Amino acid sequence: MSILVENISKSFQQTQALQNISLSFGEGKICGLLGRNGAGKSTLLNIISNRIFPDSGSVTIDGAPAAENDSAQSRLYLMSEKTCYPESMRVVEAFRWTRNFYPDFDEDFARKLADSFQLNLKTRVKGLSTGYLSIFKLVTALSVNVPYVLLDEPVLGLDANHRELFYHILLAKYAEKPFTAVISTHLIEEAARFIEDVIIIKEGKLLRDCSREELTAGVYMVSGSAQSVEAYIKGRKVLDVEAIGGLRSACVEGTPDKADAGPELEFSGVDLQKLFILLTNS
Amino acid sequence: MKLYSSFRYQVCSHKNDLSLYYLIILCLHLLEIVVAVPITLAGTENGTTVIATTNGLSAVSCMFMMIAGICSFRENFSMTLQNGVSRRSLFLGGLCASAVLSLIMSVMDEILCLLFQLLDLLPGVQLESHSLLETTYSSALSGLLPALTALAAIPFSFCLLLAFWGLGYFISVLFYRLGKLGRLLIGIGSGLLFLAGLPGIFELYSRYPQWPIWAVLENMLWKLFLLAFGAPWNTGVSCLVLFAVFSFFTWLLMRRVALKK
Repeated sequence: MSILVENISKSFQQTQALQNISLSFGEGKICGLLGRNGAGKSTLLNIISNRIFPDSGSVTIDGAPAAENDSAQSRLYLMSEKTCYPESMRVVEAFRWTRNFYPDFDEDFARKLADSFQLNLKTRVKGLSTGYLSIFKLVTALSVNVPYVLLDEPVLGLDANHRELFYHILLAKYAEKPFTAVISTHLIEEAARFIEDVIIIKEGKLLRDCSREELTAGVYMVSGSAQSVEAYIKGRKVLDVEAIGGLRSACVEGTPDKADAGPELEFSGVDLQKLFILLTNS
Repeated sequence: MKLYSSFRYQVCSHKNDLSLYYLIILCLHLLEIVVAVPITLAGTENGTTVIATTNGLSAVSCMFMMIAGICSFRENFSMTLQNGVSRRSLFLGGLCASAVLSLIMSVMDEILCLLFQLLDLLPGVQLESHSLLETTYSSALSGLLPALTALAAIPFSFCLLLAFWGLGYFISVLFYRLGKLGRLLIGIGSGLLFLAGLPGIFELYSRYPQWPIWAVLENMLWKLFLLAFGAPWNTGVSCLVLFAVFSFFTWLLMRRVALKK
């Protein structure tokens, strides 16, 4: 049971947005879909949710083709950056209509969430600020009760308090009944706390598709005096070296070899954001 | 299938527009009567009579349906895609919704028409109120009972409204699919055709009536016109055919349409 993406390519005029991408989003996992601006994250999510068609390749949701398939599409919900609700529609009306399309939509829960976020139910969609527009879409996405929830920039325009509230609700909801949440975000540091799997896309190509532990376990930082760090990294695969005065700090692929290191060297792990920057820097 | 959800949404999205439309129509006609009756009463003394008319309601409804068709696609497309509805279900739901709207409007138009006919019975009121069917095909309907004529006006209007909705929806999807240049070309091109092309043809016709092409065209167009719109039932069937043709091309445009940014 998963969303399976096979050999998807998509171009927009001269721009190749996705190049032969194959990946899967497993059942009941929180997955981070990471990439720089224009990497192709939104294009991928839009193809999965049948909003645009790929030039080649296919997407299946629990074994059924995703394109033009109502029953497959009723198993997923995409919260996108683009607002697809009519501008004149009130928030409460949007909730009612979402229930029309998704019978498992929990309107009471949505109202409770809206109350927690101080989202006015009577406001029209066009009257919502950027932050509240994100909140409205988040509340809908979290109340829709489908096996796959795709969140494209879910915290766009949200203040720190609302972001924390969202993460808290997402985790509580996930703990209560696990579902697959695919989160495409630029706030990697915040999302890293609960992401289980990581998919990194760079310039339309799949760079990494593994668990967060697996990704971060294969890389470490070594720091110390310039001379000893330089000696240690010789012959190893170095992703990055930073110099501050006489000190060096290097990001190295593999596992730390403490036996080969002098006592003055310090080893530490690399956080997801740092690793992401190193992997995606051109 | 989310066909029923899509149909329900598309019907309900026109609920307010439809209510507002009939409220405005009702107010306009009542205003017309309120203004016309005193003039008629005053006029009877010096021999002039002002007749208020509600004829043309069906034609206004046709325009309304075309505009409703034009406004139906963009918002409904993004809303239904957001909610996991396929293009096929959106299209089929739209067809069903257009049929329901056309039926409601044809019945409403006839009810209003009959209502205003009743007002004609009031003293001092001279009111003309005929459906489009009666106005256009009076001679063909001369043998029919008034009740049957009123009943026949409903399917007639239904077919007409459906055709106009189909045209509006087709225009809307066509413009959504086209790029900026295409929209500009078609927009300006159709404007030019109506403002310069057709008057130009008529000008040529009046200047050079001896050209043999006119006789051929006249003969052909007239035969085609008679076949398509010569009798009420022909018109009804022609409208249904037009609706089917517009819908077919709409589907061809719609089945691979992508959501725009």
